[in-house]
This record gives sequence, C-alpha cells and structure tokens, in this order.
Amino acid sequence: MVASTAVKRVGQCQVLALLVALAALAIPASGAFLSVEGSSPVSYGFLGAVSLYDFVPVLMLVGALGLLVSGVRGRDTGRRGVGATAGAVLALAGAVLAIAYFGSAYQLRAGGQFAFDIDGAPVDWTFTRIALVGSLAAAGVLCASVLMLAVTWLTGRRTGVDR
Amino acid sequence: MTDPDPPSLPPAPFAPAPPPAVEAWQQRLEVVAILLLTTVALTIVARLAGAYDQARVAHTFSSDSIDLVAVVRLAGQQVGPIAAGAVLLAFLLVTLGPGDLVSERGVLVLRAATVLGLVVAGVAAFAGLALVLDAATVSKYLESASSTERGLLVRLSAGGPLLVAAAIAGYVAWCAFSTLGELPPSHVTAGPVPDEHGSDFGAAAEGDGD
Repeated sequence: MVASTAVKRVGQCQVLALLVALAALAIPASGAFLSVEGSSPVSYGFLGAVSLYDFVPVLMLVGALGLLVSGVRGRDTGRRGVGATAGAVLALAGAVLAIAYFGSAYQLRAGGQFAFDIDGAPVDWTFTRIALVGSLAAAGVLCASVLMLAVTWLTGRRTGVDR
Repeated sequence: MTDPDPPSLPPAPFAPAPPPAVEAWQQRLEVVAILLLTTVALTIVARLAGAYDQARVAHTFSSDSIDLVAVVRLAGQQVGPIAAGAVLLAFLLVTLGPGDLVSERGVLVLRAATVLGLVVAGVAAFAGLALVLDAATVSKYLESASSTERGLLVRLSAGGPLLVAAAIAGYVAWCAFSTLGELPPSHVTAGPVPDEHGSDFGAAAEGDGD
C-alpha cells in the first residue's frame, strides 16, 4: 500500500514537472512568435520572450527540476515515458531560456535600451546597465545549469547510475 | 609462582563512523539554489538601481530632491512577488530535496535565504504599505480611484499582493533561520565520504599499537 502510494506520488511529480516545464517553454516560444509576427524577423527572435522584468520562466524551470528530482529514489518506479518526456522538455526549455537570457544580456551589453539617452547621446556603462546585464547573465547561467542537470538526470536514468 | 598477568590494555576506542554521504542530487539542487539566490540578489539590485535612475531622470528639470520612498516603492512593485517566490523555491529545494542530509552549501543557502527573505520582505512590505496608505500614488499608477468609495478597494488591490509577498518572504526567512538551528551537526557533512579502503583514515582506525 505504502509502496503503491510512493509510486503514485512519483508519477504525479513527473506529470507535474512535465506540465510546468511545458509552461516554462511556452512563454519564450509564444513571445518569440509574437515578436516575429509583430515586426520584421530579427535575429534576436527570443528577445520578445524574456523581457527585462520577466523572471517567471526561470522559477518555473527550477520548480520543474525540483519536482522531477524529488522522486529520484523512486526513479525507476515512476512512469517511464512521462519522466523521460519531462526531462527532455526540461532540457529543451533550459536551452531555449538560456539562449534567450544570454541573448538579452548580449543585446543590452551592445546597447539595447541603453543605446541613447533622452538627449540622444550614447549611454555609458552606468551601474543600472551593469546590474541589468549581470542579472540577465546570471539567469542565463541558471538556465544552462538546469539544462545540464536535466541531461544528467536523463543519462543517469538510462544507465541506472545515480552520480 | 608466576608473575601476575599484566593488566590488560584498555580497549581501543571505537573508530568513528564515517560521516554519511550527502545524496548526489541533493548537492546538485543546492548548487541550483545558490544560483537562484544569486540571480534574485542581482535582480533586486538591478531593480533598485533602475528605479533610482528613473527617478533621477524624472527630476532632471526640477529642483526637488529624489524621492527615495518612491524609488523603493517602485522597485518593490517590480520585484516583490517574484523574489518572494524565488526565495521560497530555494528554501524548498534544500529542505525537500531527495536527501536527508544537507551539505555546507545547503547551510549557505539557508543563511542566504534568511537574509534575502528579510530584504525582500522589507522592500515588498514597504511598497505595499506605501501603496495602501498613499491614495495619490495609486490613482497616479492605476488611473482610477477617483471616487472615495473605490479608493480603499483600489488601494488594497494594489498593495495587497505585495503585502502577501512580504508575508511569504518573511515567513520563509523565519523558517530558514529555524531550520539552521534545528540542523544537528550530524546532518551537515563537509563533502564526499573518504574511501574506507584506501584512505589514511582507515589505516589510523585500525591502530598500530599506540
């Protein structure tokens, strides 16, 4: 009875992780689509996804990783297909969000909203600009680490090795 | 007549058991929690700097000094709920992770969650209270609250989520602080367990006579 409850809980966590990872992936995907749809296609299509003040996808990504990994002891007891799919979607969302945040940081570093001030003069490296670029880069590093951990989880699941 | 038996040596003290290993995925989640809290801290600094910059630009052509209350209120509006959620998530990653033990990185996460939770709670509570108590600001931001009847409702709807976020962040800070006090030393390990066959610890545990 207890074992079946544990199996059920691991399966529920994996389904939840899959849903949250899909939501985290949908936000930048829809943003990229809208940004391309609304204007001419640009090379930074993902920039419409993660604005400077959008941190929600990162929370979803980390939460999905926590949900997926929290049942690591019963890794082989959950639903195999759902767990693998959730891991794959999590890795994909991590890659997309890492590209988006690093792209935003790069664009902001090269100018972006700090290209010109209200007088039309180019803006120097102010503290605000440094802090914004740093926060975006830190979010990119976080998403990239989630990507690596999802891949590690998937490979460990396949080989049966926990470390 | 034989000599009496020499007194027996006191038994060798028991070798201390090797410290239990922290689960591998627990350590990985602790690293993710550290990165998450770092991102949150940088985001809070960026929002505060951005709000200050915005206020400075707005006061360029006026002789008034920069309103720091408005700066903190604007930053709290932007970052309060998200930062509270991030601190809560970092705390949950460490405490509800797959392992029963916490490494030193986990203790660092709990300490950082305590400090950051208090900071987020302070900023969000300040912004929420400022929105609730200041009707003019709310009417400026929301372009409503023209009538007195709607004033209180609009103010509460604007500042309520921030006050709830402040409560969440403050409670997470308290939970992290109390968890730090409840952690016995045996539940905190410094790192990987030494190999019981090849390390010096094993040789010393067997004893060479002294």
